[in-house]
Amino acid sequence: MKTYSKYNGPRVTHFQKQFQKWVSRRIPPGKTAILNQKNIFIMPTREGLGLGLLLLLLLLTAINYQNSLIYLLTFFLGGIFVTSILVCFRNLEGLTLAFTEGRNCFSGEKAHFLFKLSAQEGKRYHRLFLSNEPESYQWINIDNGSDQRVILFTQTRCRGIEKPGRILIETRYPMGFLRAWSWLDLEAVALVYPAPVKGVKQRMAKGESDDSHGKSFSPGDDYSGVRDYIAGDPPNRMAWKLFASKGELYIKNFEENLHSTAWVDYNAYPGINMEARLSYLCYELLEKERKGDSYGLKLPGKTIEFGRGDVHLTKCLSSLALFQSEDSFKQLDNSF
Amino acid sequence: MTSSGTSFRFTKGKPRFLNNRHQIISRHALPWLFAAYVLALIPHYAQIPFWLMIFAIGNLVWAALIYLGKTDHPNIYLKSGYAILLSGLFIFDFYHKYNVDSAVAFLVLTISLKLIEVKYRKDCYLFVFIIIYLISTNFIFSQGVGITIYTLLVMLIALGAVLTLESGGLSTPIKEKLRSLTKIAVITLPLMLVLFVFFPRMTPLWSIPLTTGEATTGISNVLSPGDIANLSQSSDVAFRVTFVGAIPPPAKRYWRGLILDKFDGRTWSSSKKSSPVMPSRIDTGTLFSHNKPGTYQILLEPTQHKWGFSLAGAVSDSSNIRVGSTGLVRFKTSIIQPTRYQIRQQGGIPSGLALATKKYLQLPVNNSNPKTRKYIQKLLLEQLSPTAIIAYLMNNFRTQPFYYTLSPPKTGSNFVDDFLFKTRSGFCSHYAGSLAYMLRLAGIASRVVVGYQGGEVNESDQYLIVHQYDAHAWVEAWLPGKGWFRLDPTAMVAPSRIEKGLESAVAGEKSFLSGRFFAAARYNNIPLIHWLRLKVDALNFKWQKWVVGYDSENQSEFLSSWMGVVTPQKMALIMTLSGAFAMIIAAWLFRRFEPKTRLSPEIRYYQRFCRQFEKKGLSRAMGQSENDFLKQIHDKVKVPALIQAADSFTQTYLKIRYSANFSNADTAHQEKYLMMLRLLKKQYVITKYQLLTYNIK
Repeated sequence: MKTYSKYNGPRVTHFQKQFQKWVSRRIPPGKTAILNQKNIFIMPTREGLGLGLLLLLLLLTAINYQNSLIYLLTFFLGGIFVTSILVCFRNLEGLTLAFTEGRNCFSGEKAHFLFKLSAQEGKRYHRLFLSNEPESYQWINIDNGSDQRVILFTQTRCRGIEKPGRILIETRYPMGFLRAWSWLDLEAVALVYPAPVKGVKQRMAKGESDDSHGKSFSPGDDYSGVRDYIAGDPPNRMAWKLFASKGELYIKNFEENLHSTAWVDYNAYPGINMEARLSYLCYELLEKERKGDSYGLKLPGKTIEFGRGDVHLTKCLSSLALFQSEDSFKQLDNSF
Repeated sequence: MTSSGTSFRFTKGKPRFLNNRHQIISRHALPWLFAAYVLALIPHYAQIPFWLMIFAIGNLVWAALIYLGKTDHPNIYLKSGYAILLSGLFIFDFYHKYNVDSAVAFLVLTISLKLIEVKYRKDCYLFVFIIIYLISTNFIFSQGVGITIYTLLVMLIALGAVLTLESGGLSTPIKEKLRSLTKIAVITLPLMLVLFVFFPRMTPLWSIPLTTGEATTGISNVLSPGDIANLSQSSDVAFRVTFVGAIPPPAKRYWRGLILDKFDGRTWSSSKKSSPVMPSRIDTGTLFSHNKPGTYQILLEPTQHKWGFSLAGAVSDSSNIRVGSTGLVRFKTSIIQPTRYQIRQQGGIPSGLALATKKYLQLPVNNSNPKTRKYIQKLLLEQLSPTAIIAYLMNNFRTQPFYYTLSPPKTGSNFVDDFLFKTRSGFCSHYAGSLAYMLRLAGIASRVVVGYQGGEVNESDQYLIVHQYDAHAWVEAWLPGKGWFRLDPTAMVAPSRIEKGLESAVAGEKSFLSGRFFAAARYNNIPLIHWLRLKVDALNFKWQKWVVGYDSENQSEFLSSWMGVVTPQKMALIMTLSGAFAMIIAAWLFRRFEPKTRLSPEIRYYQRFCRQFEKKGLSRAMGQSENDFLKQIHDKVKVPALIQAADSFTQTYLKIRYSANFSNADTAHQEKYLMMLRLLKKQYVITKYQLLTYNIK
């Protein structure tokens, strides 16, 4: 089995490790994070260092020309730098970042995470930069205490639980001489399903049938009237024409439908690597859902009974995503 | 905000800081840069060469065209070619001239080239930094209150450009940015003051190029006929004097500056180079608290020279000056900053002569001015005593038809002859120069003294303003037993020059500041302008004294007057305390600037509604819902009209408050919202009047 490491970045030095430990001690994970003195860092930027050089040059000029007014200008500019520290800090202080929703995706796609960024009442925030990954970032301005939605993503590479990692929130307001930032660890998760791949069922060749409910892949079209709508019925089976004339929802009944229920079985692909099998199963599930079939999922140690509809599909896909990582289940249960 | 061009150091898995140095800057920053550029150049228009000014304006037009999208940013070849051309011109113009002027010109060259190149964030910051350094040089040339405020404002505008890069989106209005700038500036002011007062002043670390050779103001160490007449057209302040006690009368205000003892037939000059003066350490000086009787303090405007001014009989009373053997004030370095010094009044002109008799009898070797020589020889034949000769010559200026004028007729090579026997009209330099020459011909040791005479009293603040047009030249002669004494031929010709100043002396020919249309002193006859001018001067004097002249000496005096002996520990304590104080003020100012959270109008109506009921003894509990409160009203109040009024008010309120349409003052529903508000107000008024006549038990 090929192992996928989440953090396949450059080697982390001992110092960096210690630093990250220190950061996690200082900013512990939580569902929401409020920015305050404890978790805001502030340092001069490259431009701020440039300003420092300019101040030094001005001071030298003032000293050499014994010029009080150049001293005055220098102190004014230096004072503005000091004031900027306060202004910059206040441009983060009081913000609340809360995780609202993780959008599940298939492996290889982007997993999106939704956050709510709320301002302190009546306060205005300028040009906040939020990012969790180099390509996933967002600029945000907040006028007078409103809430803003932040969407960040991660590029997924393997199925499982996806976390956005620490979220950087940064500002350089007012003049870019200083950078105030925080790394927030929000307990944000999204599930990554296996990438759907069409597989060849070996059991067909062998004539072996674990499909106790008969035909599975032939799309049926023996129309056999309608029945009342039950919540969860697929929309593509609705009798729209009847709805138009009678104003009530009906579901078209197909004779073969009753028989096209089938197990989606992990054991149907013997001798194939686990991740590939899961991808095949994923494809099967999606295909069945698309056709409106009723289906169940059999995984070693876990069986999901027949059903259909979005909720059912999500349940099945989630099982694939978390397959053989039971500890992840617990994690997930805790976090939901 | 544009995010194009934003680049990151790519490392997977960890958020990286924004590295957007190469981000193309927002258009909105450019007008700020243009404004700062123009305002930074204005004070330097006279210092930089004409060709550079033309290019500087041309580059602004170019940059404006780029801004308006009429042309693109120049490519690398055009840019470097253009830069090489301008640098070549600069080197050609300023080759081997290293002074402040060339430095300013270089800075102007740099920013004007940078202006057409500003495209990325890093350019913008560099541009702003150079602008700030350029405007700091304003203070090398002038130190008034006005230029200080101007310069600080230009700096804020330059910083406005980088503020634009970092604040808000495109929608942030300029008013908002100005507000942010003002806020930051106001919060910074106390901090700036603390630093200004307490930051230790140091002595110069290395010698610096002087401003420029030609920019000297005031009197010079050579005196040709007509020299001082040029100065008489300037209403600039030469120095200001504060006396302990009464200001001496005009006739005694002879401010000696230079002694000219060498005459070449036309020009008087100084025979020896002014020797380097060691500062005297006799007296530590008390510049800060000036109250010693018999002293006066002078605040000298920059002259670019080492000489200072004093009345006859001066003794140094501050450590920055030395009074030489001839009783003249000298500094150790050239005066490029307004400088304060203190003099103790004692005795008269020092009468050391013995060694220098020859020097003060020197005559030009050529045979110039034959008529004058013949005239004096005739006088000597009469066997008159030196005193009588002096009296005769002085009297001669009064009795003969001599005229005092600012525009004397031209004289030839024999200037004294022409002046004494032909034109007979001239300025103080003519009179002093010719008298000293005649005295020397008569064997009386004499010298020309150049300085200022008179001065204007600022009555309200009790100090003396000496202007450039008060520049004067007179004669000092030496007689055995009498020593040096002053002779002023101008006083013979035009007594009003000495008593009332230049303005009244030349009132007849109306030449006072005739070339200076904008000089306020020209309009002294208009009382309001006169009063205003003196008020402004008093302000400038205070500014010069307390801000511009605040040097290491003043600082240590100020600090020791405040906390006794200055020790590093005390200094650190004071700095910390005042820094903390400045921060507290800053925090308070922050609160002042905080946008007030105004509740929306419907909530304010509801609060008023509740207050009306509270007055009648029915108060809404903390967190009690509106409907609950209404129920409470229903229970307690037994008047149907009032119940109905409260009902409809609450209903309208809830409709506005909790309807999605009216959230956050949705513009689409603005009209309806306002209509509902009017209804709410009406219902509130009805409820209020119903309540007036009703008492809840």
